[in-house]
Formats: sequence, structure tokens, C-alpha cells
Amino acid sequence: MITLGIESSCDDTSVALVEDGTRIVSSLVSSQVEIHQRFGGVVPEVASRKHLEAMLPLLQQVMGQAGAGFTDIGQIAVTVGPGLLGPLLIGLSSAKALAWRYSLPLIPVNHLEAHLAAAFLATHKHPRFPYVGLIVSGGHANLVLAEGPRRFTTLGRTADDAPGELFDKAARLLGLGYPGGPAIQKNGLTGDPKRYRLPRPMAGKGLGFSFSGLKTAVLHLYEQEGDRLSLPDVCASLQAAVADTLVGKASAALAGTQAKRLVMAGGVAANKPLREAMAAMCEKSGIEFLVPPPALCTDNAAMVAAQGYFSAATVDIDPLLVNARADWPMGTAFPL
Amino acid sequence: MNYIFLDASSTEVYGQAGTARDFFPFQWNTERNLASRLTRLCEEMLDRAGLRPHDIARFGLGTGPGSLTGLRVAASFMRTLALATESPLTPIDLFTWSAHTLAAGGVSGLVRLTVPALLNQAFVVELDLPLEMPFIGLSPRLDLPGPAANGIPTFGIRYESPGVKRVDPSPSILHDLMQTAMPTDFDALLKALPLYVVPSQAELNLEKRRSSKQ
Repeated sequence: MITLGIESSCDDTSVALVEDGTRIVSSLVSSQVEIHQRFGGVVPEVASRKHLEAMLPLLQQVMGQAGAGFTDIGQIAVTVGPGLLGPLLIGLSSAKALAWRYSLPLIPVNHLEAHLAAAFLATHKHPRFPYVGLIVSGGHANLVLAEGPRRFTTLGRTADDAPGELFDKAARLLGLGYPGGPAIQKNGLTGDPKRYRLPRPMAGKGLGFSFSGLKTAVLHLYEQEGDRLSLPDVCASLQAAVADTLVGKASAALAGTQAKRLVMAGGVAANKPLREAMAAMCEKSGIEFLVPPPALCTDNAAMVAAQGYFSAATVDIDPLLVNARADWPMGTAFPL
Repeated sequence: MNYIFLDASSTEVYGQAGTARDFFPFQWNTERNLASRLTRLCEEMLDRAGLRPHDIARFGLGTGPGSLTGLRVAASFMRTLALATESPLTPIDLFTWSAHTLAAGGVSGLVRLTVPALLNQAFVVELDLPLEMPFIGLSPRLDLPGPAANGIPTFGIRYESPGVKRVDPSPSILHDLMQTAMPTDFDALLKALPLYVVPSQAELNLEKRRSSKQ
């Protein structure tokens, strides 16, 4: 069955066709990064306008690439939250139009759940439960126990900044531009991760995260060191601090739940030092580690289509009445 | 030609279904919850007109100005329907619709048309009636909502105040506009967007920051 996926929760408009939840037929992303760079972050009103403009060309191109017509679609999956409300409404309204006109099943998808599904999509396999899921991005740091397509128990989340947000703010401070994650990784390539000893926030204190202290630590370091500050070393050190923190929490979650599988996803999961550190921990502990390739870590509609396919049977409402929700916790009832 | 039209420029959403013979106006208070009710509103219009979704040969979109979120939700829905069914989409702004309504009522010459905006301002255009073409490109500006200082007759769209006469865009005029032939190509569809009269607040703030630096 072909699932049409639509994603518009933040600053990427994306449309994809996925077969049986595991094979990408066609997938396109229209990024607004360059537009938002001048603002230093995503502006919801501007993002909404751009989503509206981008949606039809993407739909047409994806269908054209696949050589498919709208009548070839079996069902539609669309992100309805969490995310920016204005942008979410663009994707949702477009999906509803198609579902209504062609009497197709509509599957509301949780954006964070979709990120985890990307790891299984990448391996062309259906999800296997249970597993510990770690979603790290510009807006989220969530540690969950997954026991079904929509059965999630939150183990920990950030009390303040998300790691991607930390990278964005640190990059701005260091004059590296937006988005921060890729810029920090690039500048840290030749750096010494042990040069600056940055804190590992809340290490050994439960499964929650806090990254605002790390941001402050970078600020203090920047002020103390002045012109002596080594850009490669501070970038490498910051990535090491984030990776150590996340590896420590994931390891504790695996031990606490007895799960034998870890899925890491979200935009920050594309960070190379983090991927290497997490893979090393899993290998040492005999844990199966799944992480999407970098292209599927950032927001995309293929992961939405995959999660829609896997969770279609859980839709227990009239999906044409569903609404977008800025805050929709994983595993909770569909928003009306 | 069978059509459905949706104008979500305010919380009082206006809809209209039409056939070659008749038209059926609707108004709903969606309580800022348009997205969850979109398909129900369309079903209601179609039921009244005795139509089914595949009977619709043309879609109409109210482009405002007005509530940006409402306009975008309706635009996303109608644009996708038009794309998927390869049907024309007719974008109709409140000024053009009201101008034709006034002209049909015998008003001619230069008029000022206003739509209330936030912060004691109004979206304003000045038009010479009757319009030479059914659809014209408009560039509204923000101005005070009251009567024109230069004595041009001022009309408030769906409101009145001292010196400002009320005009209610007419369903029969909309029906006529919806029967007007429209291009069906993809580029024409992409141009059917809400009437963005002002830049976003973020863009204004950015301009301010740039100005203060210079």
C-alpha cells in the first residue's frame, strides 16, 4: 500500500510516498533554512507563508517522480503535532483536502513518534518492540520506552533547552550562523574534545535533561578566554559534553527498562560524534542500535508516512475532525 | 458550473455552493477552529446544493484581507483540491467582490473601500467603478478606518461608522464571478494566495533593527 506523507511542523515542508511503511518511493523536502537565517531562528508567521507556497509544487513533483496519480494513494499520513501551529495547519488542511476528495483514510501522526519510525524505515523493517527511544532535535530531548506503534512511556525530557537549541545558541554566540548543529560539527572536526572541560548536566540524576547550564558554561568560557578561545576545540568539547550526557541517560534508561534495543532519532542524531559515542556504548553493552541516516534524521515526510502506516490501526476517531496541536505528547489520544 | 467557495478572512466563515442554476450562501462561526471543521462545512454546502465532491468543477477562495491563519487554512485546502482534480481555482478578494457589488447597485466613480484591521487601522484601496475587468491586481495599504480626507465616498466592507457606508459583498455577485472563466494552468494556481497586506511582525522587527544600525 502506498502512503502519502505530509510534514510541515517547523521550517521544512516535505511530501513523500512510501510503500508498506518501509520503502521510499519518492520523497522531497523544501527547506526554509536560508529564509530564517536572517532572523536567527524560525519565525512562525514567515514559515506558515512559505509552507503554503511550497506545498503544491512538492505534491506535484513527488507524484510526478513516482509516476503516480492521486488515485494510486492508499492512505494519507500527516503530522498534526507537536510543532508550530500555523505551519502544522498548512499540512493538515492539504491532507484533509485529498482524504476528503478521494475518500482515503487519514492518519494523524505525532512528529516525535515519526522520528523514531525513521530508524525502521531506513532498515526496510517493521518496528520491533520494546525499545528505548531517544529523540534529540532543535525542540526536543525525549527519552521514551516504546512498547507498540503508539504505546510510549516518557522516561525523561528536557527541563529547559533542547540539544539542537543549545547548538543554535552556542553557534550564534561563536558567530557560526544558523543552523548551529552542522556548523558546530564542521568547526569541531579538527578540535580537541578534552581541551575545555564543560559540565555534563544532571549526570547520574535520573533520566531528565537540562541543557541551559551547558549553554551558560559556553558563554562563560567565551567571556573568560576571549581571543584565546580555540573555535575547533570549543566546538569539539561542546559536542563531547552533549554526547556524554545523552549516552549516559540512554544507558541508564536501557538498564532501567531491560530493553535490548535503542533507537536514536531527530535532527541532532545526525551529529557524528554523538552517533559514534552512542554506537560504542551499545556495542559494549550488547544493545542493538538503530539510527536513521543523516538525511532521515532531519524533518521529512517519509518518516511520517512510515509511522502512519505502522499506526493506522490505532486511529479510533473520525480523522477528518482532527486538529493540529502545538503540544501533543507521544502516545496520547488524537487531538480533536 | 458547479462550485464551492470559502472565505475564512474572519471567524465568521462565509461559504457558498453553486450550480449553473442556483447558489447557496452559508455563514458559520467556527470559533477559530476552522481546520477541524473544513470537510464538514464543505459537506454541508454540497448537501444543500445536491452535489457530491466529484461534481465540483471549480473551487473559489476568499483571499482576504483578514485573519491570516484562517485564510491560509482555507487556501491550503482549496489549492490542494484544485491541484488534485485539475480544476480551476478562482481567488476573490473582499475589495473586488465588494466593488462589483457596489457597481451592480449603481455606484460609479472613485470610491474608497476599507476592511477593519487591528490597532485602529484598516486595509484600504481606492477603485474607479465600475471595474474594467472582473479581476484586478490590488495593492491595499494600511490607513485609518474612517472616511477619506479628500472627500472620496468611503465604504466599509461588512461594517459602518460615521462617514463610512456599509457594503456587504453580494452572494449573487460572487456567483457571477465564480462563473467567469479562469486559467487552469499550474502557475495560475500557485498565484492563488491570501492577500498579504503587511509584512509579518518578524519582518518589521528585522527592518527596525537594520534601520537602527544604519
